[in-house]
Amino acid sequence: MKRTLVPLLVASACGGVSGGGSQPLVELDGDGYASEVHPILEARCATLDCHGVDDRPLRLYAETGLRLQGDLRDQPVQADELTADVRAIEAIDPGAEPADSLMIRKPLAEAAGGVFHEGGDLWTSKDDPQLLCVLAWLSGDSDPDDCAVAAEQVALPPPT
Amino acid sequence: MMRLSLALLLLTGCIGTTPEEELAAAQGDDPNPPEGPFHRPGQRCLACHGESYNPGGEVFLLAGTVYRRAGDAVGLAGAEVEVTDDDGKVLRITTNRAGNFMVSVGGGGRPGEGWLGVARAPAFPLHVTVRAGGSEQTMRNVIHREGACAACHDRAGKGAASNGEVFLEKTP
Repeated sequence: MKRTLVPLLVASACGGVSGGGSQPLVELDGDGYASEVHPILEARCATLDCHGVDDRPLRLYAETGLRLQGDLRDQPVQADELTADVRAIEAIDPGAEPADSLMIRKPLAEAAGGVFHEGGDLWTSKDDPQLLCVLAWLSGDSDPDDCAVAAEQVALPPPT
Repeated sequence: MMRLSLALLLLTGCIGTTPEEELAAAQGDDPNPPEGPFHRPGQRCLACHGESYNPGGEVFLLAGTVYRRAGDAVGLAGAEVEVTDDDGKVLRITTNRAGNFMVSVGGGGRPGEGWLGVARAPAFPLHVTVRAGGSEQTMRNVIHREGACAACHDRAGKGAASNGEVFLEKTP
């Protein structure tokens, strides 16, 4: 029993947010994530030098970032990767109100009400269309206008 | 004793390769490891030339190796690496004969050897384009903070956490 317990303890001590112990505040909408939120997070957060790292809190998968398996490199993001992203987001700040959650306050500049973020200030104002798009999704809502503006801002060039 | 062992195990289980271990692995048994801007192409330059650990002496903000094609044994000389920072400032560096390039802050450098010295650090995120001989590749996404290309472009090839080498042309 001890032999089983020790590796489990080691694994859980090193894990990010993928463990099953956290209780999500709400069950977030996977379709809305894929169509509206994931492009924002891929461009702004999910690179291999930021949240595209396996053991990082808020570990995110993306076509240009971390992949669930190595043979997915150069393939479009997969459904199970998007689902894993949603589970990671649900677990990052369970119990928080969407507007107060770390998903909003970490990327938001401290001067605008955010909290310190190692990766810097991604949004300088609470009126940023990317913030509003993510916030609407976290709230179980949708904000097509701001999400459309955000999509233009974060569009990545096509693969060559 | 059991508690101490368990605590140590938990701690060491979370620590990956140390900079010293990475350096030792790169040096191997060579009693006179190569030095200068042409050495160790394809390796993670900032492992030994980073701000916090720099037994290699020089500290680089950005550094890497460009290959003509993925899997090439030798880096590509004379490729232009264009870096555009968040303020729109553009840096251009030409790779040296090993395919290496590097950027340090504080002036100096040896532009003829792939080493550009700049007065102030570029503002992240960075956009990168590489070109040579009429071919061009632009990174689809940006560099948010990592200065060593090989950290995300492992010489060992593509994988879950690697986009493979920085290359210019697709392998036919």
